[in-house]
Amino acid sequence: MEEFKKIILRVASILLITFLPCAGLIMVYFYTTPRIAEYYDVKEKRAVLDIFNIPYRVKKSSIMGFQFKSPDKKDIKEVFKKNITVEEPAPATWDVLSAGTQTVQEKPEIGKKMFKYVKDGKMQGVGFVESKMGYGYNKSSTMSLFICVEPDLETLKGIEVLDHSETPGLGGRITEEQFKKQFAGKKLKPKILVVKGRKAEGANEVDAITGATNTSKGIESFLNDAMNEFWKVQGDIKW
Amino acid sequence: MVGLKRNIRKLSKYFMRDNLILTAGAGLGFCSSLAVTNKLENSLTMGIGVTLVTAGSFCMVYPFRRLISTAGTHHKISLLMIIVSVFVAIFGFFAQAFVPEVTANIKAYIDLITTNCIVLAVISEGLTVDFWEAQKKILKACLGYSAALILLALFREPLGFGTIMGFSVSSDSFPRVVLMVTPVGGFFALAAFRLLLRPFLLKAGIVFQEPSSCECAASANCKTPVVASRQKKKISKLSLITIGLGFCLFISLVIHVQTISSLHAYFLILCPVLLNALFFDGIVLSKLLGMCPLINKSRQIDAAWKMGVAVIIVTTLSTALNWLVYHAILVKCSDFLSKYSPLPVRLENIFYLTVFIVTIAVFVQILSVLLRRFARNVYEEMGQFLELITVNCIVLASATFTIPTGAKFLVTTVTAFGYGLHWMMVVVWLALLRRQRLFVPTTAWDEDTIAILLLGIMAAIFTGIGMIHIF
Repeated sequence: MEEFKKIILRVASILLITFLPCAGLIMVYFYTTPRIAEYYDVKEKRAVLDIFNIPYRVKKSSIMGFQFKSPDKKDIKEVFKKNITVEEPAPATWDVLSAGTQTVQEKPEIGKKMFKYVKDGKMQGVGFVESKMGYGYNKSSTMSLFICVEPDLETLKGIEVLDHSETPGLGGRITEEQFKKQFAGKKLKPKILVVKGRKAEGANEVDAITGATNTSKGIESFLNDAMNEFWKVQGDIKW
Repeated sequence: MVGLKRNIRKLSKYFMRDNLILTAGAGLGFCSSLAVTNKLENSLTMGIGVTLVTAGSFCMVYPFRRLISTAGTHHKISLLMIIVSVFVAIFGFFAQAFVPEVTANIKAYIDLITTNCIVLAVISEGLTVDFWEAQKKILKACLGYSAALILLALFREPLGFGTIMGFSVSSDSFPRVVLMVTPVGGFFALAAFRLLLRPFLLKAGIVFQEPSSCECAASANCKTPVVASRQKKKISKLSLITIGLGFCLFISLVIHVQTISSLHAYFLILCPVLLNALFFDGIVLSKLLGMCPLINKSRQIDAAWKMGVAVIIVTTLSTALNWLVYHAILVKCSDFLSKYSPLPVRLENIFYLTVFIVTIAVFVQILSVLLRRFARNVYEEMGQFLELITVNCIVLASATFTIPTGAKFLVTTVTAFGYGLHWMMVVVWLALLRRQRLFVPTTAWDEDTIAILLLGIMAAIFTGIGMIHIF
């Protein structure tokens, strides 16, 4: 009985002491969540606009001789709204808020959030966000790519790395422009190939990152798997 | 001029004497200091975080110090960690809102401030003294920690990226030492700092030379004959045959697993995950966590084995438990809440750290009670290690790295098991290496530095293994 009383006392004291900070935590959560969600939203939209080559305003400011470039958030949103049609999958399980926070929601089996760019009544390209686990050097964490293809669904328009956990400086160089630019205009069929040791020549070949073969291979199989799934879902839909 | 000199000396004395990372021998707080220092902005964020969290949670805890100090050690640690975790979550949200680019890189390590040894050590030390005195101590320890982080980052970032705070400082033709950015570089940089700074600090009178014949060296010396005289355990023929047969059975199982298709599918997913957690992306050598117990427990091989086994058991079971709690309680609750509340509340984003800590603390407590009741002799050997494990970064890390990213149950458990196994492997290996006394250190301080150097070499080896493409 004495033991039991002691345990009750301890639990009660813990609850009492932690109550105040927890209340503070919830307040902070409500304050910060919209901001965090906005950041990820703008980041995604910016990636989309960058790939489709749609211009948006960039704020320039210089402090003590250093040039700072910061994209205009409002303008990005407006341009995005004007140009891109977002096609949500029918079961609306995709929670917009969850994109900014830690959880990766269980994605619906069929259909993804599609970004379509229509200009002058003509389809310019389709893009989608794909996040998967088990690729690259760091296999136990997710990698998230924005993949964008031409309307024929076989030519890459470009890729953008949204989230990764590779070693900075080695595998982390997948975020560098030099690597990402290579993918523009590459053929996805039969499959994309990352080559090392020689120069990339074919229409479906890109150069690997020096010293980060595993990450490059990871990107390769990521792209191929993602595209296979994409084609399977799209099936006979043609634009 | 003289006044300036004196002031500099005063300042450096304030930061460098008993600086937990650069000059103290205990090895507290190494984990985060190695992992985040490859960029200056990361280390600045981390330093501010540690300072704020420590000061805030100390203010919270201080009024209840009598209540806390009358309770047992384990109770005290769990309570402190729960409060610290709440503050860490608050800081995490602020960091995500205001410096999102930086936070995206080090979110995992911001979560792990919870188990940062410095925070806990300083708070529990501060509970015994006057309030302002304790705040002064906290400020000293945390600023010293930040100063060490900044020094390390100033060393690593220009060498690795050629930049400081994102501005390039060296010309493009200057070679980038990629090694400095990788985890391996962290070990080497810290060891180099500790070795190189030592003579300067000694000369400046900031640090004093310890009595040269350190006790650990002496004790090791007098222990050696005991070890030698211990009878070697003979391996009987029967056990050899059993081991051989078991090994063959295991191999054949692995080969023939593809005959059962469902098992084969699991095997294909789980085998890379296990290998990855065990070798390529290990918790110590590539994620740089779990350092403090590693350096302290690797002094004796015996303790290393026991601690390793305890870590494996606790990590695997508590992570599995955490997964269940996270998905069964937190996610369900927030689904339920979102039906009724006007504002979107995702409990699993707010309270995941606190819940993980509570689960781990409760689990360790239950385990020790069970052991005491049913396996007395095991408890007597393992008990002290169990109590320590609650503070171990890797138990929390194996939960926070896998569960919130939405990993499946088996993947989570296998990853945690791999992490535990990796930790045991490294600690035993390090203990064996340290027993060999490749270099003969004169002080305990030097010995720790050499342990860090050895860890760096191990990490280099494992990075090499990771380059081999198996799957």
